[in-house]
Amino acid sequence: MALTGIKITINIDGKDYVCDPGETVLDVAKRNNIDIPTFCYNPLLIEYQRLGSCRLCLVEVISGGKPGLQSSCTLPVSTGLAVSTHSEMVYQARRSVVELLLSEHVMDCCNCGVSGNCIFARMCRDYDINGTPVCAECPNQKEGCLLQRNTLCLGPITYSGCNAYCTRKGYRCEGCFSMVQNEDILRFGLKAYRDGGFSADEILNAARIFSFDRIALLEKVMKEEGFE
Amino acid sequence: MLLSRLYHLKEIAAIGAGRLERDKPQLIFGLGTCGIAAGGMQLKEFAKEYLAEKKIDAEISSVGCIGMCYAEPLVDVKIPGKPRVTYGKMTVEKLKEVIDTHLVGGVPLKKYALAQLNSEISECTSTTVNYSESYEGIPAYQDLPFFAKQVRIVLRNCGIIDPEEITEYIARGGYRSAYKVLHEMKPEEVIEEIKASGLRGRGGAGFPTGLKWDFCHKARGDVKYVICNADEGDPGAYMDRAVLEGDPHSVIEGMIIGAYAMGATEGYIYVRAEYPLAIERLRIALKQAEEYGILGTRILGTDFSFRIHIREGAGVFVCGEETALINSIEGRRGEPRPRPPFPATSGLWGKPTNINNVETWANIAMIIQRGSKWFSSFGTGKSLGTKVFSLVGKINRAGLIEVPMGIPMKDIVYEIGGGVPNDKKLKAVQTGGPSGGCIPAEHLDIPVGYEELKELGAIVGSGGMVVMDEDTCMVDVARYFLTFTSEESCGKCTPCRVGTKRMLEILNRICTGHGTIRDIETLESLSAQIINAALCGLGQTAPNPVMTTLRYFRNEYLEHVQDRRCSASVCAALFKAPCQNTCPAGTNVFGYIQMLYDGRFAEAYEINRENNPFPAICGRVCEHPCESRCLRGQLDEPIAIRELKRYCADKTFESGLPSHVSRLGSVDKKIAIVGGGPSGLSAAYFLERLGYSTTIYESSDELGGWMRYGIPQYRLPHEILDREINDIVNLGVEVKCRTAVGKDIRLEELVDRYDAVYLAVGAQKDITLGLGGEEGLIPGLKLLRDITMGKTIDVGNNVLVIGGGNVAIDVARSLVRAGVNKVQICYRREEKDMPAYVDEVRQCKEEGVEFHFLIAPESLIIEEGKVVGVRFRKNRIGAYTKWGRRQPEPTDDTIEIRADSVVVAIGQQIDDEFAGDMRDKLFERNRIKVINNKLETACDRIFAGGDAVLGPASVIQAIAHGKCAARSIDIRLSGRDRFVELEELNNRSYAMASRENDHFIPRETVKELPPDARINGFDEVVLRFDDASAKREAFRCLRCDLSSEEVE
Repeated sequence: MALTGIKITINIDGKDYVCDPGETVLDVAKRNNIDIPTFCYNPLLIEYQRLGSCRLCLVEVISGGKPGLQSSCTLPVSTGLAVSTHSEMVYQARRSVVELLLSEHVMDCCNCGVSGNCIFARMCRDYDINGTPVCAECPNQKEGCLLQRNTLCLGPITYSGCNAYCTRKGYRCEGCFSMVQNEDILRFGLKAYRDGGFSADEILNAARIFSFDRIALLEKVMKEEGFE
Repeated sequence: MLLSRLYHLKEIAAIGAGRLERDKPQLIFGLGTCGIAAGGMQLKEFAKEYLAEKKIDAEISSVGCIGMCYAEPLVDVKIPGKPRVTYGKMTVEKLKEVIDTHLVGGVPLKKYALAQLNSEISECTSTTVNYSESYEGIPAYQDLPFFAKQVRIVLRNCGIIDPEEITEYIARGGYRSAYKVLHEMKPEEVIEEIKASGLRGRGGAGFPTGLKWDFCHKARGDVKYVICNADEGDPGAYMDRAVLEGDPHSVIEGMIIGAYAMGATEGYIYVRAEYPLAIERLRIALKQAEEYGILGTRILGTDFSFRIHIREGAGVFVCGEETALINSIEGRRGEPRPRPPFPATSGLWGKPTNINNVETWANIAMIIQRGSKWFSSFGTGKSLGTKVFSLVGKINRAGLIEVPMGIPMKDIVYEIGGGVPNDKKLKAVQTGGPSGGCIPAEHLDIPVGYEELKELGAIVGSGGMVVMDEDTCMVDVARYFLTFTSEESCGKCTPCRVGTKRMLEILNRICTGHGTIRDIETLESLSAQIINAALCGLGQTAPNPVMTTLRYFRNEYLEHVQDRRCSASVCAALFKAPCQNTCPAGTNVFGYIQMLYDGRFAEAYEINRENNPFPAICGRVCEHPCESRCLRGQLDEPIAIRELKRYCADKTFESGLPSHVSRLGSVDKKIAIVGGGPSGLSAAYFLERLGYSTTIYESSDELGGWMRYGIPQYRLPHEILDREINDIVNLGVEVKCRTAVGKDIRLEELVDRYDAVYLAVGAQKDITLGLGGEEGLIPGLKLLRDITMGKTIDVGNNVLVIGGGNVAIDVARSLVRAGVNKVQICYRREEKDMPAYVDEVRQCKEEGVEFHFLIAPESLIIEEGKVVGVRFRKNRIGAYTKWGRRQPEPTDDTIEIRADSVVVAIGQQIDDEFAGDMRDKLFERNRIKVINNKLETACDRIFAGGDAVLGPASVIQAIAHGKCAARSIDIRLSGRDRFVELEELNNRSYAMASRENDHFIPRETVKELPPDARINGFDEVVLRFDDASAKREAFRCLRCDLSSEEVE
């Protein structure tokens, strides 16, 4: 389809960009270093028409098309098209997409091979979601997990968002981002503590420092798991 | 034979006309899937054998569905030169009779006949059938309420022609439009015509069809496709199926015209495999069309070539979405593609493609034939033409209808559909299937159009219209649709795949009583995000059922979440049995019926008294909402719950056994109760049991309120009343009769002296007519009171009672007993709209009271300062209101009725004298306002209930309010819910030995005094069950509270 020589101008976030017909908004954004997060995007899949699935790359069409959200990886450029990549509507939609994906996700961050490069942890930080524990951001997992070195690190049961500042430097997590309020994550965390041989009292005492009012759920899960 | 000239068409039409109007008697069977399912095929087989056996010279043919699904199976008889007569709900026996008398004898059988087809009922003009003179005594199709408001364009041939016979279609004007388009019109002209008609997509979204065609027409491409979307998947929708089964050629003709206009050479009909009959008839139709040169190469004598292929869908809901449908035809997974690119530019195999719904295609030929102007004369605003709806659910006349757009929804439901069966109340109408929404009864007067419905949160959709009555739980409805969409979600995009699953989990939680307020908020925010972010129409509309039910029925969600209650008795986890769940006071109905069946009357009475201090009274006068929800009613008839209650109470009184109630230890708190009626007494009863000391302030001489002064003794004898009131007083209640709060003691003083105050003052001030000169009229309630107190009344010998409620009936019947010769009742609506109990109205008539309906008082006739009669304006029955009652409309006629005195009993209101200076704070308009369902008022420690809050209601509701107030007062004063402790004291087992009662057993009826024995005194009219009938009636109880494992 692409006709050589003819250029199209589109507007992203208030700035004009020149592009070729046949490109998508995401192509243009990537080329110009505009941040649009993606999960399912893979150029190899285009011919199988599998794109537009994850809905994370949604942008808001302001003019030049049907107003509303469109997946930028499938939205062809056209003359007069103006989109916003970070409007309130986009923010809320992406946030709920991440939340929904997290709700399906096995939160065993302490044993996850991604190790410090977790896309969910990044999304949770960007979209203000209390979703993943510090382990998701911690690069120490494969070797050098502090728990294996008999240090009581609160990473597995503390919300991420700090980019694992302490554990990166080799200090234990003190839990300053507060206790995770999700039973599944706590359960996976307790497994890690059990392997490390820590007692319930030790963990609770450490957790109380920053989360004295939020340890009820942890106590409940400990009881259910028979953790002592 | 290949058709290439117009006279060819005319020749074929002549053959078809001969088939439509045959020279032999003819039996016509309605054999759509609906007719076959109802047994039409067996009837046809039987008829074949029967005709052969009796050597009757007649022909048998079959047609599609005419729409009257409520009367299936349908069989028509056509005698040459006579109209077609339709017989409904046929059986083999009936059919035999019909064949003998009508088909052979020539005399129509009026007792089975539904209607006769004596003129054209659709918009099809070129009919060749001569209907000749009609039979007498059989309604014409147009006169049936089901057909009167219909305009049949799409369904023009359904039920009229044999769908497997192209000649009949041509005889009804078929393929003329295609011929005209191919020979005389340019593609642009066709598109302009369709644009001008205002036709919009009938599949749901309502995109202008002409515009869509224009896009495809202008799209560059050597190969183009047209597709007919017949993947009809909405629960309760079957319009497309009926059209394909009843008139497949109308779709094919539409597609030919569309293909010519857009330059397409190939067409596909994507029809779901669950419609085997539709597919079969389509195949036959395509084959016949090809044989006649209507499809194929160089069709109808022109250079234009067009072929149609059938693709069977595998029953995937999302394949009704156009891009998923294209994927499916291509052999890929049925998943939607992102748009743009739109199918008009890049659709099937990347070529420009146009997709329209079956109904849209079926409209096209008629628009060409009769012009866009004619088409756009139907409908309103931006919604033009007609729309086919499948009217299903809780409706008397379910079926397939076609109405002009813009018709008020109430007309569809009440006039065409005949309203809700069993006199139940309509709750909502669901349109548009899982993508649509629920329209509540109060919005039923909206015109049915795309924009109008969208404003209410629903959509026209493909045309499913599901009527729901009061037995429907709206949370359960939302859950049902979410179950459907989460199962049918293709799984491609995150919001739909995961989001619907999460929403369903939340709804399941709410329906099982584990929901929280936060869940409702989450539902709302999640819905909004799914609508914004989902890829295709399925996901974008999936939250609609939740959004609309939340919008209009939020109180039901709150009820599930806060009170763990489902008042429609649907969510099984939240109640034991529908009867107990429906009783406002929560009476354990199945418990006492079991005890009664076991012969333990005193215990049965005690079980009653746990939740209701007045079993003997309610056993006589209760409005028994429990019976309307009794599950037995779905099998044969509901249990006579009220009569059984009375039976066990009376038996207990006779036996003289003491009845015990559970009580908690005393608390040092005092409660004042204003009003000694059912609500006040009930509050006192429960508060005393909770250990409080109570004082009742009553302005009259005796306790009982409405039960004593508003219900005559022939319904409720005073010894029964006194006995149950004394049982309450004996618990330790302090009674201050003849003490009017507001006059003898100020309300503020009560608030100071007591820990809490319960206001149960009732509504006992008669409403006046507002005509002027009413001093001469007698207020109804005051008259009842005087009769009850034994005062002599001087009303003359001819009394006129104005009103249609229970008070009016009670007044009339009391007057008869007081010796008045002539009593007349006037009511402004019809008899069936009277608010009075049906049984009472019947008994009232038996006692010789005259009734006048549809007259409204206009002025009083006053002679010599005395009212001697009333001048009435005659009403006629007008249009339906959105509540399903027909509004009376005044006519020019008046009527005068003369009487010695005139009684007004048109309603009561609350007397606000007691409130004094606190009136403004307590009242909102004419009632006391409670700020929450705990019956608290705006004033601290003051609670209110009964008629004073509800307006004139029933005894059982007053009792329930008393109970609720007692509980709230207890929670307010003690800080915890001690009602639970009270209930725990009564731990009973209601074990049941298994009994075989799930077959038809008629309901026992109670005996009544004969009318002439009644009218001479105030003896109780209704007699109680004898022992044997009571036992038989109790045996009928299905014990819905038990699961099958719990039966011994």
